[in-house]
Amino acid sequence: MYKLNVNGTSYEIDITASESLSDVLRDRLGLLGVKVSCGEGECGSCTVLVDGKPETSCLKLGRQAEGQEITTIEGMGTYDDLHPIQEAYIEEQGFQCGFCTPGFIMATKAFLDSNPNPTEEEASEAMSGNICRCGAHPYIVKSVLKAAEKIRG
Amino acid sequence: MANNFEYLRPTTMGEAVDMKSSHGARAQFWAGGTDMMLQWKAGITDFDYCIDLTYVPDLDQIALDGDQLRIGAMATLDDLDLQSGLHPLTEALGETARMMCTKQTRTLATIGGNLCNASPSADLSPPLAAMGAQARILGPDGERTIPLTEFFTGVRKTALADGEMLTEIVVPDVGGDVAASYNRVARTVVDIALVSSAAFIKLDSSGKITKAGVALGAVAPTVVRVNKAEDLLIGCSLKEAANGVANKAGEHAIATANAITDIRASKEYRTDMTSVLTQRAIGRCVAILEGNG
Ligand SMILES: Cc1cc2nc3c(=O)[nH]c(=O)nc-3n(C[C@H](O)[C@H](O)[C@H](O)COP(=O)(O)OP(=O)(O)OC[C@H]3O[C@@H](n4cnc5c(N)ncnc54)[C@H](O)[C@@H]3O)c2cc1C
Repeated sequence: MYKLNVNGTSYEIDITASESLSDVLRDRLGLLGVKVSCGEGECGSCTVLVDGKPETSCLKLGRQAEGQEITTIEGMGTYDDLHPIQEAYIEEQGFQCGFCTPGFIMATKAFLDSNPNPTEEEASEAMSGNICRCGAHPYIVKSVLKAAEKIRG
Repeated sequence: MANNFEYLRPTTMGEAVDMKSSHGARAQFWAGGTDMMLQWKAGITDFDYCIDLTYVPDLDQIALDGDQLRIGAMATLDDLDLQSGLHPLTEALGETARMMCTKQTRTLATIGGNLCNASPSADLSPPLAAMGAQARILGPDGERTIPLTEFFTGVRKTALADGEMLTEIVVPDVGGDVAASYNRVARTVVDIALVSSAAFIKLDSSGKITKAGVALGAVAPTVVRVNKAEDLLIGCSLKEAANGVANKAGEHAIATANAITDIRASKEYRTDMTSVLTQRAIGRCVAILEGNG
């Protein structure tokens, strides 16, 4: 059994040797907000925070995450109490189909934690590890800047 | 997908090396897994034992130690980026790291993994080779240190014997006025380098170049140093290096390159670009040392 800390809760779970962290989060813990698209670390859909840093969970072994603090989109906000980043994405229409959105929001969280007052160029660069197939990138950059504004208050 | 494997978790370097020695080629180290996961899924690599290095302490330090720059094998590309401000050479390595992967894969990908994977187009090999970096290796019989250029023996092949692991990269003699620059051409930012070149320059107190390194990536099975270009640079002033010498160094780069044509680019394009990129790298080093970097 392996101990995983996810969204503030501690779990004891059976994890097979080759199981990726994204599979563990989705299949064992039912955290379906973790999206897997390319499965090769290029698209950023499966981005989660590990000890506050963004990581593509499809490339990491589930067992490698033992003892680390994992945050997924489910740990960000609720329907009734959205995280300011989620509010900003809704207000600025930072998505169309929404599949890539959890990954973008987690990448945004890590980015704004390290740079609370970014320029448009910095925001655009910071979002370059995530791909939006609908092409909402300009709105995503606006969402990031709006979220920064909201968090700064 | 290949067969499942057994997961081993050493908590000291000694234990990691013992595990590798006892299982030999049937075991593979797993660092960030950004190459391993893909190669394993694709069946390119097959092994029975995965030795996870995540829980081995002290392998992820980036620090100045006297006149040496020491980079632990488990330091990530993101660590390199974040430590850019430590030294002019970490500045160049941080800039290189930011060209690689994406933010959320740089947090996983390690320096040791990039070098041990031994891809001819790996981005860290040319700048580190140009700087004269050495690889520290731990094995069942103890430790040894070899020049990074000898660490690579072929495409995806290293000098690591069964039972050995890379523990650290050491760049000696980093004191004084030094600068480095790495340049590559790639189709897109997440694509691998089609061809690349790095330069390193060290000045003496009179402003003459006392040490130079020029290394090319993706034009041979391993990274190659352009000795003739280095010899040309040594003894020059920065002005001479920028005017004319860089150009000649570029010609030596062309003569050293042994590029191939593949799906990404032609031999001719790669060869021509070695000169362009080498001149850019030298020009950038000069600009940094003149205070205009
Ligand atoms: C989306 C994406 C983009 C990428 N872009 C780039 C790029 O632009 N440029 C580039 O150069 N690379 C790129 N890569 C490749 C990759 O990220 C790097 O090669 C990475 O640095 C490998 O490190 P790792 O820790 O993930 O290694 P792993 O995958 O864990 O290991 C790689 C190999 O090294 C061995 N190994 C690891 N550590 C040690 C050690 N200490 N001692 C002995 N053997 C060891 C392993 O056994 C394995 O054979 C990219 C990868 C992805 C997924």
